[in-house]
Amino acid sequence: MKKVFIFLSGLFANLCLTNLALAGTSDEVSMPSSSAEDVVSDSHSEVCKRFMIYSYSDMSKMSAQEIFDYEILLDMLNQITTDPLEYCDNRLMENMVFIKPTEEEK
Amino acid sequence: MQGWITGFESVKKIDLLKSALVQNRKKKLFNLFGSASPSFHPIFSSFKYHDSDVLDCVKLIQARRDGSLLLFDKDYLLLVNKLYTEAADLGLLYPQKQTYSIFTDIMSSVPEALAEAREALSIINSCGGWISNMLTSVAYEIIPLKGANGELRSQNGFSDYNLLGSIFLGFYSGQQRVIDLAIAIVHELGHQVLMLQQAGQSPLEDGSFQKMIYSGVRKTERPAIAAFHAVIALTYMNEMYKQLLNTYHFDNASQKSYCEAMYTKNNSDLLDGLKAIDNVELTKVGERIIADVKSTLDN
Repeated sequence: MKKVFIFLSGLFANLCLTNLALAGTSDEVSMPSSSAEDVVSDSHSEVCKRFMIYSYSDMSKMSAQEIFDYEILLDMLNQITTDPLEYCDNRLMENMVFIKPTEEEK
Repeated sequence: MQGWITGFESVKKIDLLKSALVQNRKKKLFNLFGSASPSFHPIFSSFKYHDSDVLDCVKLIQARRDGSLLLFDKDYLLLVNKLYTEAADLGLLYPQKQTYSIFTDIMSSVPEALAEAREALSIINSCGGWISNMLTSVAYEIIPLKGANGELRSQNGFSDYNLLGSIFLGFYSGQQRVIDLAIAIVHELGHQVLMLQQAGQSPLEDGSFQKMIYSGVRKTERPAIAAFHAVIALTYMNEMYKQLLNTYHFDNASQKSYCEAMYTKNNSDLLDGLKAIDNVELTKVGERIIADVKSTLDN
């Protein structure tokens, strides 16, 4: 549980930083980097940030079905970007642990 | 997590998928051309076309753009035509090549077309629903077309996997042509959204892709993926008719009764198309999309 709270704190920071970027259209995302490595990193983090902001809403109310839906969406994003979005993947795993019902709850 | 193809939730998903596509293409362009790379343009959707001719043409086009979906200026359309038919050698408009061509001189031949297109977009936006948001998120440009035999007005329209965000449309001639044009834009929007979904995952299992089933648009048997596209286009049209009937202030009674009649017909076509989809094997995404479509139907 502690890991989840630490993770959520970081997520709030990301939310504050990226709200402005989300106000524009997808085409208008800036790319200020100067090297190919930076661009790879930027494009990954941009998609990750968008995914996190998107999937963050109503996290506490997520059902197992919704978690599966997020998995599908993440698979689709990975397919489009070709390279695995590992950070997003990790976040999804955190949520799986957080939300999956225990044996007792079942 | 409802809303894979309709509703505000689907707009967020599609925006995310498009963002991933745009970022990926920007990365590839930067790897090839460094700081000289242009910003995203529909021609980079498939990333098959990125040589120097294409790049030069894209830069000229982007220098003239003002963010509007509607740029019917002749010089601009000549550049677009050059990009899609010469620089990229898209074979655009193949298989439509035999029938359509970009209407580069539309402003001198049909000067009222721009006002009609603006009014059609205004109708979509005035309804204030999710369709307007989806259009803003997905569409890059609306390109006017001439008819098969050079007709100034026609009911042609198409979208292309290689040009995500580009909507190609003829200009209708009927009495309710502005309403028809708004519906045609939304029809193409349905194709655009499904193509973005397909970039992430096919809605159909491999074995079903080419299976011939009934299509609710062309009303004949077509490959299942085309019939699936027809279902989505009809769903978008249905949703637009509903938004119009619920919120739009019609100019006159005949305009409203026209929409009511068209909605009834369209809904019937959609139900026929949906029945046919029951005969194909869907992926997880395909199942969710169809569940979403069914949730929009009137009881």
